[in-house]
Amino acid sequence: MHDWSEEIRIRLARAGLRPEDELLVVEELSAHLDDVVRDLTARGVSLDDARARALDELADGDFARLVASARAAAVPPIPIGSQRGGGISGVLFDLRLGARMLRRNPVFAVLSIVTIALALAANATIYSALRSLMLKPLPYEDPDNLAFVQLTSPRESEARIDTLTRWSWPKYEVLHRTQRAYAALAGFSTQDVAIFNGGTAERAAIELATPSYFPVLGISPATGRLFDATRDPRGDGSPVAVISHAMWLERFGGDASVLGRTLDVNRQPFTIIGVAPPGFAGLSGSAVAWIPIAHANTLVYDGVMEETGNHWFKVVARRNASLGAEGERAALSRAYNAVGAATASENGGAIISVPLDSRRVTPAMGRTVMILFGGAALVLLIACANIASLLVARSTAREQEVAVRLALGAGRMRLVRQLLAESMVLATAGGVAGILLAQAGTRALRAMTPALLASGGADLLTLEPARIDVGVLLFTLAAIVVTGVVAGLLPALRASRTDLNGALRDGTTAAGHGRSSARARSVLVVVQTAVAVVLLVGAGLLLRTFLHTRAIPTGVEPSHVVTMRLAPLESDGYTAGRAVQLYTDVTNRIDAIPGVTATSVDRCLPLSGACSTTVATGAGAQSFELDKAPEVDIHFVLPGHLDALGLVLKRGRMLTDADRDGTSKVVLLSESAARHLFGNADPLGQRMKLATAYLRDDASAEVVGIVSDVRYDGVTDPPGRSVYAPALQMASRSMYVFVRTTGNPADLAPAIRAAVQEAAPGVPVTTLQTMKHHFADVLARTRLMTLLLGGFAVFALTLAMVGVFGVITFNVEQRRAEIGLRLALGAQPHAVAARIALHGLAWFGIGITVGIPAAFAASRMLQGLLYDIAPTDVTTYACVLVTLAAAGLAGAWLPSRRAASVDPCCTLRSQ
Amino acid sequence: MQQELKKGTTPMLILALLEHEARHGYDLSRMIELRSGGVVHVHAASLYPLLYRLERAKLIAGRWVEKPGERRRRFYGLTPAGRRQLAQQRETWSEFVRAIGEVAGVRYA
Repeated sequence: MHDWSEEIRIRLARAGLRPEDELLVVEELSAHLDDVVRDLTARGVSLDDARARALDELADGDFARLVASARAAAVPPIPIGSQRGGGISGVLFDLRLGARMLRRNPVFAVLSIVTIALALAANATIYSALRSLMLKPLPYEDPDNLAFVQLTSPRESEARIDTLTRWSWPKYEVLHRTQRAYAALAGFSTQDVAIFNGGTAERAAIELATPSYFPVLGISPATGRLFDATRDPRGDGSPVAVISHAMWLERFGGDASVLGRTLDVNRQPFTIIGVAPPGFAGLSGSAVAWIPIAHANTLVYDGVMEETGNHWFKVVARRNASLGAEGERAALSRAYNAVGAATASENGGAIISVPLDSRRVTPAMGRTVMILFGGAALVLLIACANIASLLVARSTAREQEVAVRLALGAGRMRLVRQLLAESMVLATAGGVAGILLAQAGTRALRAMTPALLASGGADLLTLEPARIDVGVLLFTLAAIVVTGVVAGLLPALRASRTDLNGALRDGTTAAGHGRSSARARSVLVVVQTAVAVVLLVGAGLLLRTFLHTRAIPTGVEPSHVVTMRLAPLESDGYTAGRAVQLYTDVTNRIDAIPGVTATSVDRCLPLSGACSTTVATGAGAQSFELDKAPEVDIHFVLPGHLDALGLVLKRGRMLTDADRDGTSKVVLLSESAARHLFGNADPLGQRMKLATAYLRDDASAEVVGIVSDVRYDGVTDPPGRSVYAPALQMASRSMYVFVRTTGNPADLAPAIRAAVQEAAPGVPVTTLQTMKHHFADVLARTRLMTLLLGGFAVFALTLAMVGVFGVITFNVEQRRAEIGLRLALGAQPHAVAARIALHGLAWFGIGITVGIPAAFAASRMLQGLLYDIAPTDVTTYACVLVTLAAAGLAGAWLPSRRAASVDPCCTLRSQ
Repeated sequence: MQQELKKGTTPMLILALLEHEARHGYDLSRMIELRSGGVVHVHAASLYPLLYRLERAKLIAGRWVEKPGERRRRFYGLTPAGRRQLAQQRETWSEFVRAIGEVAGVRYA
């Protein structure tokens, strides 16, 4: 046999085949040429002639091109020391080359891109929330110098410290007149009103504001003017209104002639004098219009501006920067004394400034976002580790090629850059896909925002909702670069450190054998596993919190209950004096609907944190000083209340229809209230006093019954110390109505609405919803957080599993010959599989060992978000370990089986 | 003319030759020459690229076979897709031949 390879190679050179491909073509053609020569010599042709004629077979000039077009294209070689190596064009060249390399291995590329896309989408989405909630500067002039002004009293309970305290007008007036602490002050209050448009009314939120409100925030009108500054801080009494830009567009079509037109608020006409700039919705975040606070007497209730003890609006101030913190404190102390002296309200409290920026989110919400951000970052880290692991495997396969290039004088930096380009291309593609995914993510987040904010419980400066803006894009860009570098650096550095001597001498070794490669990938498995432990523990703790929270008895049986709020207008003739009659009529009418079993009313919903509190000034023989009196919350309910909400009468009697106007005052106590007020004494038949309009002029009420506790604040807050008084004796104008039904409560909603319209024509019904729905909203944040962190954890677990799978598969390939030998010498296949699996699982085990202390440290951050569970909860850790062990075994199973099924004959022969 | 004809029909010839048994490249070139009575000769330089193209189109599948004392040879066999392709080409071909015959007035015995 003649060696044709040189002759064939020369003719194939222009085809640029992959070396392994070329080898095969040469082999096949050699056989062909041998055959030609054999036949020709058999016919008597001389050997030299025969060879020449055989080579004529390949004489076609198109030969190389034809072969090239029929076989796969060759690997584009990494150019070394090419002139295109430097500068921008060099980088672009590298990137193009990287993209080409990835196209040749689509499964790897797609998997990597999907992994990165998911991780980056999570990061971009959470960052968009973080940015809009906490990072973006407030859209006001010099926002750092804006502050809420808090009037604190020493009695303020810990639980309510998050809530902004409010001011009464007389106190504000004194503050306004005497204070030297601030450059300017403004008061504002959100009011729920009906805005009429012809015959139809729409519920909307407006802000009553002092004329200084817009100047303090540095807001100028989009068109028209804002409130005139007046000597009187409440403004002059002229009926004017500024409307929001959104309202201007929606209701008036952006028409400039809107100025001078009338806005009908609660059937009172206000002249529109200006339009606020786009995006501005007041500090409450929901206002559609602003009306001078002087109109509170008609829009809130008559006399509200004169009440010293009624704290109903918030105060915002522009700080006096020249004063300094110490000077401000002193000035506020003097202001407090002045206010106290003028209104006889001094009680050892203080006036303090709370920076606006610190009140954008509640501390719990802020921590929630930060933790989710941390979780997303960990997911990205684990994804990087996965990509790095895959790249290491690939670069190992190219070890020899790299060694040759290095030996030929390629710069190591050049190689590192080339390999980094590949991971950069992956990260960029993943990033682009991730941004698209994040669009959907933020859309989902926006849809959930109202529920999330509502369940925050405390005042929030609602800002623009999360969205993908330039800031988020920049963040994602940075994340892409970090991802590309983190995922690519280890493989690139490893490749550039290739041991030339070893790799070149070791030429016969199949690709992927490098010991250091195995070590690098094992280290990555340790990282992945450790991160998975941290995320799983966090998710586990939150899941258990969520389950605990759901299991907390609220004191109310929410299924089959519909709630709604009636908002009758005083201007429609529904005065406070008619409220008892109104609610009697409405509930009687609803009671008549088939399928309704009980109805009641109250001023607030369970789990709303919105119930009025008052203080008990007397209980039995004890009487309390006003500033030391125990706090209770007060509810006005109908006799059907227990049945409607599922409360239990523990002792005594329920309120009845006989407890009506003109009869003696009676109250029910919740068990907590009874315990708190009366201790061990029997409260039944005792008399008590409350600092509320229900009991005026030192009157007292008899405790006639004890009922079960209800949680009126958050789910995890203690049950309210509640006092229930008969709504037949006193009702508020706007109240919630509860309806218990036998069937699906939502089915009865239309009938209930109709009944309300019959009994009380024209009364707006708002927030009609099932109690279950309301409860679900309350838990929305915990649920969302559990879901998100759980999703992160599952993602991390999957990636860790893939990591283990990869390392063991790699290990099996590497030790094929050894395994074959062992099997040939009589080793049991399952014993071999177990050995292989154990080897891979060892790294997994190390990851767990590293991860547990890390999880331990990280879970401390969750502390305030957990309920009834310690961050060190043993059960959670045990569950996480079991889950991880199962995942590890699953990841190890398949490749180990492969080891056991190695065919000793094949592997030994191939050596 | 002959060159053109050859180009268009060689793939069919190869498929047909592989219909009943797997063959290697040299075998194929010999069979084509033999069966055509020496009229058609396919050079290795065009035969092998054609084989690779057919294999890439999954009409034929190659397999290395070793025999003691010889070079490894690559044997090609028809895939199910190749079988379908062959049947279809035969159909088209005989229709074409019939049509040409009608037009050109060629008569077969």
